[in-house]
Amino acid sequence: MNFSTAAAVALFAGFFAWGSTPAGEAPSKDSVKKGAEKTPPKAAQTAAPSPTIKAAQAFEKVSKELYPKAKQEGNLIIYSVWDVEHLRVITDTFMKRYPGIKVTYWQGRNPEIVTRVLTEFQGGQSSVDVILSDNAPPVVRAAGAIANYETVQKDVLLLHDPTMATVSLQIQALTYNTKKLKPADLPKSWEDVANPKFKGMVALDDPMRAGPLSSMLAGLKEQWKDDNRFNKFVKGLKALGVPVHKSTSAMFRLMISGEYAICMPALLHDVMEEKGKGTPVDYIKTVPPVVFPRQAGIYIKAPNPNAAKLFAEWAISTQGQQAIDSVGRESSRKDFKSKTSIESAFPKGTKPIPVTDKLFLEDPKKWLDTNVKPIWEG
Amino acid sequence: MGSASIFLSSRSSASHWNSIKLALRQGTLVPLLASTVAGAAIVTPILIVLWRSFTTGKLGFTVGLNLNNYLRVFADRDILPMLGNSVVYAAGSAALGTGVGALLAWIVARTNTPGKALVELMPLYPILMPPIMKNIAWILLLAPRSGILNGMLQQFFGIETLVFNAFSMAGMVWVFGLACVPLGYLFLLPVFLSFDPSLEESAYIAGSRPVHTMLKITFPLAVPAFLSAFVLNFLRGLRSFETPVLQGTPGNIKVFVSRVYDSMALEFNTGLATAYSVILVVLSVITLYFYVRATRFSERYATITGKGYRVKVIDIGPWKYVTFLAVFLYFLAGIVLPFVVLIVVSMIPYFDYETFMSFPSNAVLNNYHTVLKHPSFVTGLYNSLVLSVTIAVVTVLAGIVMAFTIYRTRAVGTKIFEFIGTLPLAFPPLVLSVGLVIIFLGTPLYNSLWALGIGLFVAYFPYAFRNASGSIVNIHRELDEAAWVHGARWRHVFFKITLPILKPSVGGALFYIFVESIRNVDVAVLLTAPGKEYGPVTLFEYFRVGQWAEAAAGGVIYLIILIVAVSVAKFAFKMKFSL
Amino acid sequence: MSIIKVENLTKLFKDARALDDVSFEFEKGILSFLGPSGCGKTTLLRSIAGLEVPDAGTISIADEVQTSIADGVLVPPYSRKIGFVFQNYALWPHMTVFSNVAFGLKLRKAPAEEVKRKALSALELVGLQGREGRYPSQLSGGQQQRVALARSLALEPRLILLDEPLSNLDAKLREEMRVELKKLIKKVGISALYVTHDQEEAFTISDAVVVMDAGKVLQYGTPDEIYNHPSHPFVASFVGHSTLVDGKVVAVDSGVCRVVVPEFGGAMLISAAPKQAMPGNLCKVVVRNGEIRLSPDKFPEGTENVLEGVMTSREYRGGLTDHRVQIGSKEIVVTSHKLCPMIRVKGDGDTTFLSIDKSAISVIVEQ
Repeated sequence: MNFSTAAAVALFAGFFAWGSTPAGEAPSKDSVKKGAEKTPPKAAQTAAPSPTIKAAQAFEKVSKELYPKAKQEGNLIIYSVWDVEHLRVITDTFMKRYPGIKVTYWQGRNPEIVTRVLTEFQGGQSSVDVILSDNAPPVVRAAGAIANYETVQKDVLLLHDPTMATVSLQIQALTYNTKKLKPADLPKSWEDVANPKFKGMVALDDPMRAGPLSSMLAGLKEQWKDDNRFNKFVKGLKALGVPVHKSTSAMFRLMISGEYAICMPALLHDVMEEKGKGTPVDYIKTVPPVVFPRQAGIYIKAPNPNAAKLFAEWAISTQGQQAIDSVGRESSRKDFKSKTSIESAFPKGTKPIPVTDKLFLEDPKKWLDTNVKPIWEG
Repeated sequence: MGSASIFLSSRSSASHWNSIKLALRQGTLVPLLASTVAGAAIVTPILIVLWRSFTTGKLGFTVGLNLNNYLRVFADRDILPMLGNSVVYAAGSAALGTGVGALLAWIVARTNTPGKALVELMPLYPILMPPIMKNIAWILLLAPRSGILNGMLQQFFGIETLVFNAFSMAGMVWVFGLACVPLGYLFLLPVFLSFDPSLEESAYIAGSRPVHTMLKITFPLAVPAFLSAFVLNFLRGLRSFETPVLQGTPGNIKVFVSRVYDSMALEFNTGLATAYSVILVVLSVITLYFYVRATRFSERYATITGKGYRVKVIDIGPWKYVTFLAVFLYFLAGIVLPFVVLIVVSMIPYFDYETFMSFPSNAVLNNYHTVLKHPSFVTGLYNSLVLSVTIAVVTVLAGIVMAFTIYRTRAVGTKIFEFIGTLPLAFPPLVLSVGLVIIFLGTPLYNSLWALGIGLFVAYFPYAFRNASGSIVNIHRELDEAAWVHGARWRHVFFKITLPILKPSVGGALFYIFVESIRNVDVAVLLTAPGKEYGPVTLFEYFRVGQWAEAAAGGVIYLIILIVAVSVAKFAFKMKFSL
Repeated sequence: MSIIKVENLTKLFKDARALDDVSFEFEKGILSFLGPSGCGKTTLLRSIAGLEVPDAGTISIADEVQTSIADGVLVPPYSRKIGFVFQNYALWPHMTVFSNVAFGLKLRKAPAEEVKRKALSALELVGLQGREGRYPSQLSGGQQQRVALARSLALEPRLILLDEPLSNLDAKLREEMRVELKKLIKKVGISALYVTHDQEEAFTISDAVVVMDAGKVLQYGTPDEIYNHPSHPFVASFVGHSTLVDGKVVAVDSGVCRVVVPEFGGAMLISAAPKQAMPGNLCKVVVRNGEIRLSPDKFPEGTENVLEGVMTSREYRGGLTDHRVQIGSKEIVVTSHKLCPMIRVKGDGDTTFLSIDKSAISVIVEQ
């Protein structure tokens, strides 16, 4: 799939230039190549159509193709780490849009999902169609249990992976308790959190547990490309002298309760939700968010592959994203306007820090052992 | 009665063979067979998992037979300190919980503490509170800088030092220890309630005062039940995960079981997770070995004799107000305090000390709205109710059969069931569940309620079995023998004598397993079929994702339902814990 | 037909022999196993019931082999058609008196009306009619024991086994009950095996007695035989109240022997000669406490077996008095009662004369 790789590279390049280039410029190369595979877009346009419209058109097309086949399959099974409540809303919306497809889901934590899928895979079972999660899909893919599928709507995605559809993003924000820190005292960057003046005040996620902090480290290391800077940062975090937490949610609550002043890190949608309730928390807008993909991977032995593809595409479509946004999860599209989108939550020109290091995604322990452990435990 | 205690333990092989023949003739083949079947159901997933520890690397990648996982375990430098922490935590909690539970049982059963009806009920309610709720509530109470108790000390007494610390070994032992009390209480209450007073009277006549008799006669005779509960609590502590994660890690206390979870969560390596679990298994086997040794003269513990007697209530004079207070204090600590904290937390917009203290002026109810709109609240409830009731009944029955096989039939070598019956508890749930999944994969049972049922059976069998094992030794053998001699076969003895006499213990075990299994499906989570939600478990997802307020609201609702149900059951069906 | 026949029964327990080559045969009636604690009598009873498995030997009930280790026969307890009354009653606390008694009948699947009839009649037999609705915890010890008895009788067994059934009752009740028990068993017409450590009880109740010690049968005979002709020193000392001394046979003449007793200061005693007695035999001499005459003054010349000693103490036992008299190096106990004419002795420390009837002395030749 040379084409996909090239497209991916092009997109990544386009992504980094995102802030400065007009939206329409980057995809132009691809649209030509894309046109070679599919029926050409409507000829009536004089200017190149916006990615939004193109994606919408591509979606409509693929939806029409896949729906009859999916309807024949009649079922869709999802394993997800998301709350049952959220799954219910999303799948209900999907089923309403595509009657005739019965969706069932099973909810578990990431290790449980991976365990279950891979055990079933080793047993040759066709037990699930879509794996909807953050940390799980890359691991499952590394074991060979994912059927690569590239979404037709990739142009509008912030983070695109040619093998699995990115349907949502985990966005991390540098969060603090407004009762405990004055604006003048706030850290100025992620690095600044390691400042000795915050000693004892930071609720720190365990960097070795492949949680949000680990993801952040992977993203930062890739962006900085500077080992010294990275090592200094990790050492600085250690020097804060705080015990680490293994539960981001508990950490968050303890920051709210005043046990800590800074939550390193917190998830954007959590912060937005609490802010909306009047809780004394806020995030530092000048610190670029770390972004981690949440994907809908398609199981290689999926019993209903067409329904699976349909779901993946629909999840990225505007309607799907609306459903996802309605349950408080961040959109994966560049053009989606919501409270939790980077566009509205952060100042214009903010460049998010993506987590795309393949090694980290597929084998977090190995990556951590190589890059973080020597400094953290040394 | 000297010669009456000479039982079948002769050295000669002829006699050995004879004892087996007699066992067979007495028709004890059936319980032996039943125990073997139950044992097989338990041992198979364990064997599978153990096999994988020698053959599996990261999930999805097959490797050949090797010792890599074990080599890693032994090369792990941190193991000993972590094991040390685990043992201290587990043993401390088990001792605290089982001890308090036993004391409460004695107070309720044997003393003239006033307010009998109330005193009997009070220790039961804390059982209903889901463990996770307890964790939240106590963290909020005991957190060093932001906790309620420290805040109150400062506000009302001007005490600046941070007295309480949830993130310490003491904090951990307190919270888990409280959670261990119910087992101690439920296991020992029936023992004290069926105690033949002549056993104590002989002590009184010899000049021993009530407290001294209690210490020298009563308590020692309750040892099998006490140790059974202790072993259970200890093993639960060893593999306990939530409390150490929430309270240990922020206090820099690492327990052993986190290695197991890291192997799964970080490396997705079931083989390695099992290799680590093996250490827990070894610890469990050692613990059980001591248990078996300590209770090997099972005839000594016959407190339920065939002499008709009425259980003696001891008049403890003015101390009865102290004991009432003790029961009440446990009631407060065990459920009232956490419950109150939860109610408040469920109704304030967010938690910190000031907001907490401003209650109820800032009360809101939206969390309750959210929870009540939750999709699985009703639909899953039916499934889980039916399943939990079935599991409770089946495991309890099977547990008694296995205990009967060990202590009531004369086949030799049945002591091994003591280990088999308790073994599942040594494995952290996720590890065990892999074995279970593998068994069912590819069979039509996979993704069915049957697989889930069997998984829950394996997970909860240790509770039922330990309960039965601790209690059955209290029944004097002569009660069986009298039946034998008058024409009974094993099934008559089992159903007409053993089972009815064990009814009080059975009642406690049923209650406990039902309440536990209805909300705790760690082991079976991999066996739940997509689309078949399993009840109130999903409510506690709120907790996992940090929505503690909603979790509190859900917990409050759930708790109210259970409290009402249990109170109704106790009064309507006169659920008794005595003969 | 013998109701019970035991051959070469042996049971080892660790290194000790709980039963050591026990053999006897009993035709019918009430047979007691008598002996001190630990002598094996309960093990014997339980083996006969099938509750214990011996290491060697044979047990037959009513000429049917129940246990035969050599032939591999082990009839289970529930098929031996016997009754068993436990020392601690072993009543089932969760069942009423009626249910306890009817238990075995119900197991035999007898029709309900027959069950009721037999159970109630068994209760009537033991004098507990009207109490069938009670629970064991509501009855006195004696009543509980009777329920245990009724439970066995209801099944109309051919043999009933009783393991120290009266030992938990107070002395008076015990005396009453043993008479009642004997009457009842005879009335019902079954045979019984009765374990006890109380010699009086054994003698009152039984037609024959097996005296045991350390797993062995020491003597098997009628109460009279055992009391009057103990064949073993242990039996002699265990049975009845007596004093045991060493002696040597000096002369044997037409069924009468003369024995010298060094401990009595070399006094000579005359008694019926045991069969194998020969001059020079070492023997044990048993003197029964209840058949000695006491007098402060000398007995007339020619009185049998006169001894002289010093009174050391007296114990009043409520109707009986134990006088302790030091003769030579031995202290002999003389039990007397109201009607025994010679109790008017002066007091302690005084010289006392004893006269022992020939029949009060038994001589056991040592093997």
